[in-house]
Amino acid sequence: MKKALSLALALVMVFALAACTAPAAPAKEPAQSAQANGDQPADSNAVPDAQGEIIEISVRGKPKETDVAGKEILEKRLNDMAVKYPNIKVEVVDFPYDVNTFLPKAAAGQLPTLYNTYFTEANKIISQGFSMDITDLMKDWGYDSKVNPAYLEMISRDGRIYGLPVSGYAMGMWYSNELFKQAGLVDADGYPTLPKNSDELAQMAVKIKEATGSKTYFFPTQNNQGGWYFSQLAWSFGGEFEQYNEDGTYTAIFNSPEVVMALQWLKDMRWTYDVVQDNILCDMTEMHKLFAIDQMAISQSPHDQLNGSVTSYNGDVTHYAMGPIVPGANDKGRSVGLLGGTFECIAPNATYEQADACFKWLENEGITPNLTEETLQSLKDSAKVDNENGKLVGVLGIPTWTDPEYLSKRKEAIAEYVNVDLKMFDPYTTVCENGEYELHAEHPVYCQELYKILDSCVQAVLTDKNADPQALLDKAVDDFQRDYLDKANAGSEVQ
Amino acid sequence: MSEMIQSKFDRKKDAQSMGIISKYDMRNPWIKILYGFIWFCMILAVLVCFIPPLWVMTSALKDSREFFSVPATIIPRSWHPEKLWDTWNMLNFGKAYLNTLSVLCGSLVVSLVCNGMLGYVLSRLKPRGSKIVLSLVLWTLMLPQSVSQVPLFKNFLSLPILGINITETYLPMWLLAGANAFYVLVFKSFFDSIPQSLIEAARLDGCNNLSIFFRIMMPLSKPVLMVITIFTINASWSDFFWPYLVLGSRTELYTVMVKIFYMAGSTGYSEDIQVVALIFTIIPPAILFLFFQRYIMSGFTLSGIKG
Amino acid sequence: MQVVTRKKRPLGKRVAHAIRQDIGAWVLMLPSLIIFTFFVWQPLVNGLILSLYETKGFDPVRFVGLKNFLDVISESSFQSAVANTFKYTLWSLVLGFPLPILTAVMLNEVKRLKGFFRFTVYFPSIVPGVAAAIMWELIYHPTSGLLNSVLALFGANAVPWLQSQNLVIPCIVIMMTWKGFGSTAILYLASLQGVNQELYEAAMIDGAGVFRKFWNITLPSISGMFSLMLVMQIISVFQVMYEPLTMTDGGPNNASISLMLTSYFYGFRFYQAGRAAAVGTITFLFLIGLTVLYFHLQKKNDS
Repeated sequence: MKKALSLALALVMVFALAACTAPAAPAKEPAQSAQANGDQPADSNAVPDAQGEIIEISVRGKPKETDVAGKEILEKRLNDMAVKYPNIKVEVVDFPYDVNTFLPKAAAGQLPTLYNTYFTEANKIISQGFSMDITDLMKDWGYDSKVNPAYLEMISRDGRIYGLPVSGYAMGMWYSNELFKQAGLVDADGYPTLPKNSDELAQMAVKIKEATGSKTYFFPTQNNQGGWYFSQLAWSFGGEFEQYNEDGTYTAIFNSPEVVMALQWLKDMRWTYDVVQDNILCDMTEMHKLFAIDQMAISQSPHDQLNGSVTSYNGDVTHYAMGPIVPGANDKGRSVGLLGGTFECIAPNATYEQADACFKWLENEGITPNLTEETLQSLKDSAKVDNENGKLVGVLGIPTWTDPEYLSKRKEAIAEYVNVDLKMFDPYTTVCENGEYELHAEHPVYCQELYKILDSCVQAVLTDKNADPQALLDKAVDDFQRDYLDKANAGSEVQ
Repeated sequence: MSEMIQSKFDRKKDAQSMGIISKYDMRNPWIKILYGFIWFCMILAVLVCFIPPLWVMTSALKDSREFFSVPATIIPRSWHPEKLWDTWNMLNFGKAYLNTLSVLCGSLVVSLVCNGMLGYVLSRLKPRGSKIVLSLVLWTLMLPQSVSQVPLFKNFLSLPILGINITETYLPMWLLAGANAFYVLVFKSFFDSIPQSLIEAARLDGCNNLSIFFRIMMPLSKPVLMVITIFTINASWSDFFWPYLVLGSRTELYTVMVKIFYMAGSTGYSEDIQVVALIFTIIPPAILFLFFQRYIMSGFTLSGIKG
Repeated sequence: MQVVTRKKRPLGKRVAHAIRQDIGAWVLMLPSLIIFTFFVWQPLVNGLILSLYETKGFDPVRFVGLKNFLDVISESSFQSAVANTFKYTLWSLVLGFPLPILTAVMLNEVKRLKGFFRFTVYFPSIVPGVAAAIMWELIYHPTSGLLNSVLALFGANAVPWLQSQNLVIPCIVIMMTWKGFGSTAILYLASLQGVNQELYEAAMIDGAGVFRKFWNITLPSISGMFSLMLVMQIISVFQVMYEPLTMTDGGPNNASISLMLTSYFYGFRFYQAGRAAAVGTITFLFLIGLTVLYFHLQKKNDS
C-alpha cells in the first residue's frame, strides 16, 4: 500500500511538472540562427536597405569539406548575391534531407529557411505543416504558370502550393553497357540492345549471367524501396494499387491478376532464372555499388541516381546506359514511369520577405524557369563543378518547366561539360523529352505505409522459395485496407 | 582516521584476485585440465572479439576493386595503409577528435559527480522521500527513451524556467551524462556493498555527509569510478544523435561520430572510405582503454601487490 | 486556538528537525535531480501524453483518448512485433545472460595475461554502435561476408544469415551479445574482485574443492548482481530498435521487426507521433508487467 502510494505520488509530481512546462518552447526563428552564426565564412555580409532592414535567410547546400570546386562556386554566388541584394544576408548550411532527424528538427522549428526534399516526402511534409504556403509568392514571381502541371499537382493541396519543383525524373531502366557488351548484346555501333518486354528481359538477364558469371537483375527490398520498385513493376504489368471510389473512399486492389503476375515474375527471376542479386536485404546503395563494379546488368531507377553510383563507388561513367521501363509480357503490359524528383520548400515560420529572398537565391543558383544570361552562367558553373567532381553531366530528366525552349537552352549551356556518350541514354531521354512516356503518380494515400507493406511481400518472394504471391498479396490487401484505408475512409484521419 | 579505515579495508582486500583455483588445487590433474579448458576458452574469446573488427579493418585497406569484389578475400591481397592517412586528411579528423575530447571530458565530470552523488544518497543517506526518487530512477530505465526525444530537444532550445538556448554548444551532451539511471544504480549497489561500520566510525569521528562522501566513499570507490568512467566515455564517444541534432550547422564543432554519420548519410563518399573511417572510431577508444586499464587494475589489485 | 498551536508545535519541530537532518542529503541529490527532471522525466511524460492525442509534428492537436492505442493494436504487423520482441529477449537471455558470468569467473581464474584478456573481452564494447552494425553487416553479407567466405573454404554451402526469416533474430542477437557481453563481464569481475579472499582460504582449510568453493562462495557473492543484470538486460533488449533498423530494416518480411522499431517507423517514417508514443507506452506497460512479475517471483523464492 505504502509503495503504491509513493508511486502514485511520484507520478502526480512528474505529471504536474510536465503540465507546468508543457507549453512548447517558442520555435527558434531561422533568422536568429543566422545571426548566431554571423561569424561563419559561408555568410554574405549584408547592408541594410533603404528601410534599414536586413533580411536573413539560411539555405541548404553547403558543399562538403573536400569539395573545392563546390566551395569556390558558392563563394562566387554569395558575392553575386551580396552585390545584387545588399540587404539580404545568406547563411549556407549543410542540410541533407535525412529521415532520422528531419522530424525533430522540423518540430523544433530548426529547419533552414530554404530546404530541399523529394516528392515522395511531400505528403508527410505538407500534411504536417513543415512547408510554407507559397502560392502568393509563386504568383508574384510568375512561376505558377511556368511549372509543369504534373509536378505542381504533387505539391499542391486544395489549390495552395507548398513548394517549388526544381528537378524531375521518370523511372527508367538502368543497363550496364559493359556487361551487355561482354554478353554480345550490342548493336553494330556498340550500343546495348534493350529488351522489349519482361520475358525478353528475363532471357537477357540469364544470357548475361551465363556470359559473365555475375547476377544480373537488381531489386531492393529495404527502406520502403522494395515497395517503390514493386509499384513500378506492377504498373508495367498493368496493375493498380488504390482505387478511388465515387463516395470519396479508397479500396486496395493490388491483389489483381496483373499485380500477382508481377510478383510471380519477380519470384521467377529469383528462383527459376536465379538472376537476382545475392544480398536480398539491401537498398539502392547496393545497386550503386554493383553497377559501379560491373557486377550488375539490369535494374530500374531514375537517372538522378546515376551519380550515387559513380561518385560513391568510383563507377566508370561510360559503363551506364538507360532506357524506358520495360512493359510486362502480358496483354495489359505498358511502359510507364513513376514521376518523381525534388522540390524546394520554405520553412513554415519564415516571413514573406524571407521567402522572397529565398526565391532570389534560387534565381541566383539558376534553377528557376527564368533563363537569363546570369542564370545560364550559374547552370554552367554547376555543370563545371559536377564535371570536376567526377559526377556524370548531361543526362537531364523531365523538365519541371513548361517552356519548350528551356531544355535546349540548358543543354546548350552545359554542353562543354558533358562527360558521357549521350546516345547511351537516348532511349530514355527521348521519350522523357518528347512527352511520349506515360507517367504515373505515386499512390494517392498512405503511400509510404503501402511501400512498407510491399517491402515485406517482395522480401517474402525473394527469400522464401515456397512463398505464394497470390496469398501474400491477398493478405497485404486485407491488412492495408483494414489498417489504413478503412480508418481513413471512416473520416478520422485523411492524409 | 579515514586513512586508518582505508588501510583496514585494504587489508581485507589484500589477498584477493587469486580466484577460486589456488596453487594447492592445481595439484589435482582434473583441475589442471579445467584450468587448461579455461585458457582454451579465453583464447577462443580473444579470437571471437578480435577477428571481426580485424577482418573489416584490413578489408578497408584493400584497394577499392578488391574491397568491392565478390566473393571477398579473407586474407587481403592488396594493402594500402595510405588510405588511412588520405581519409584522415580528407575529412579533417584532427579537429573532430579535439571536439570529441571536449564532449568526453565534460560528460565525464558531470556523470561521475551527479550520478555518483545520487547513488550515494540513495544507498547511504536515504533521506525522507528518497524512496520516491529511487523508484523514479528505476522507472526511468524501463521507459523507452525514443518518445522523449523531441520534447527534450525543445528543452535544449529553451531551458525550462531559464529560457536559455543551449544548442550549438556541448552543454546538452554534458548535462545528459548527468542523468543516467543505470549508472546511478551501479553506484548505489556498489555503495550498498561497503560496510556500514566504516561510515559509522567516520561519523563518530565527526565527519559530515559531504566529507564522508569525499574522504571515505570516493577513495574506496576507485573500481566503480573506473567502470563508470569507461562506460561514460564509451557512451559519449559513440553517441551521434544528440551532437548531430544539437550542433546543427556548426560544422566546426562536429564530433567524430557526427562526421561519420554525415559520411554514411550522403553520397559522394565511397563505401570503402566509410569503412576506413570506422577504424578511426575504433582505435582511439581502444588505446584509451588500454591506458585506463592499468588504473582499473591498480584500483582492483593495488592492495594485493602491497600485501 | 491555543490547543491547536500547542498540538502543532511538536509537528513543526519534527519537520524542522527532519529537514535539518535530511537537507544535506537532498542538496547532494539536487544537481542530478534537476537534470533528471528536466532532461529525462518531463520530456518522457510529455512524450507519453502524446499517445492520447492526434498529433501534428510533435504537437498535440486534439484529444482522442485511446484511439491511437486501438489503431496500433489492430495493426496486422503489431502481433509479429510483439512476438519478435519476446523472441529477441529470449534469445538474448539464452545467449547473453550466462556468457558474461562465465567470462568474469574465468577471467578471475586466469593467472597470466589477465590485463590482455580483460582488454580483449572489453574491446567489442568499445566499438561504437554504428561501426558495429556496419561491421556485422559486412560479416553476414551473403556473398562477400566473412562467415560465408570461411564456410566456402570448407566447401560448405552459403548460409543466408540475415536474409533468413528464422535466422535473422539470432544473428542480430549474436551481434548484440558480441558487443555487450564484455562490459557486463567487467561489472561481474569488479564484484568478484571484491570477494573476501579469507573465505576461500577458510574453505580450503575445510577441504572444500574448487567446485564447492565456486558453488558456495563465488556464486553467492555475485548472485546479488544477477537480479539487477537480468532486469537490465530484459529492459534494454525489450527496447531493441537500433540494430534491426540499421541491419535489416525489420525484414525479411517483418521477421525482425520489434516494438520499438514499429514505434520508430510511426514516428519518423510516417510522422504519426501519437501512434509512436502509443507503441512506446505499450512497451513500457509490458516492461512494468515483466518487472512486477520478476519481483513477485523473487519474493516467492526468498520466502
